[in-house]
Amino acid sequence: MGSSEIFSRHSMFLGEEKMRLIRESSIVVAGLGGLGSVVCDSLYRLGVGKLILIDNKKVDLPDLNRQSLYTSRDIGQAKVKAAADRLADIHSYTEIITARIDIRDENALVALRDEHSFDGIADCLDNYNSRFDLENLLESEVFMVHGGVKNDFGQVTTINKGRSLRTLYQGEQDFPEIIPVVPQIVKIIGSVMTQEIVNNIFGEPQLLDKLVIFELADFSLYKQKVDLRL
Amino acid sequence: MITIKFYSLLRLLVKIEQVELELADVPISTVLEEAAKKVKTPFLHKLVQDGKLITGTIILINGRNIHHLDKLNSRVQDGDEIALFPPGGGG
Repeated sequence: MGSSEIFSRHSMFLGEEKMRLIRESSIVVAGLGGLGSVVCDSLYRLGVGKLILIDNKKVDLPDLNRQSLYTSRDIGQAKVKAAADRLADIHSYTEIITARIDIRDENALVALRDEHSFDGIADCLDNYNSRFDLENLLESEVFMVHGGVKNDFGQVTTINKGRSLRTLYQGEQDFPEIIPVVPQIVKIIGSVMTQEIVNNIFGEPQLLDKLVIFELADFSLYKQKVDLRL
Repeated sequence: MITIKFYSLLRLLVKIEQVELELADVPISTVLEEAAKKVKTPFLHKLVQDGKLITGTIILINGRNIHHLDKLNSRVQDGDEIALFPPGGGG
């Protein structure tokens, strides 16, 4: 089983240089829920060089409607372990690092940043305060692609050092903690995030100072200008 | 001319993508009240209660959240664009 064969269908489209950029990239995926499942699966199948998976939760029954990395056999297992096992079954050309840490634990986050280098961060978290803490991983040259979902809508944007999701979400509350969501919007927003991560890897982000807003009910898609500069 | 854009839940509620108002140098609270009159569907209760902003819908003036400006007293000028955006917080 060769990597050239596994990745042949998209390398035909992307070409050698872009495949090299993907292969040499290292991405942190923060939050291995619905969005994290889609982003991990797609980045892995694209052939990114390294995925650093962060989550501190276990797989629970209500996760199975949308968290496509898991099955009923994973209930009770740490998400980082279940996700890493599932991905490793696909191929062996991506290095997987797992970190079962709480994003809100500043010391753990700093230790992770000191131990691993990475090009970008996928914010697949499920609450605003953790997202604000995740921004502590941002350094110059590192991008963060943010996604969020609720009901049947969601949004995606890119930030980097000097921009903050606080400028957009400050004032919003994290309650109720359980957010209703249908699985199909998770797949869409996760896929949009993956594309924007790839855009960033290629040095061509499309959503810097723009917010993609997708509403599934009538298939409406908008790009709204935002100013997220600090 | 001030443009007010409605997104996702709000757009489905008011059944219109955007409205334009001939206003200038007024507080955002006035803009919202005039927009509500124009779309003929009540939506202010989704944004404001007892004169204060409530969570669940983000109000942007030219891409800046009014929480970082002067909240409901934020001034809106001719040519400004307002976006009303209920965010998805889940992952």
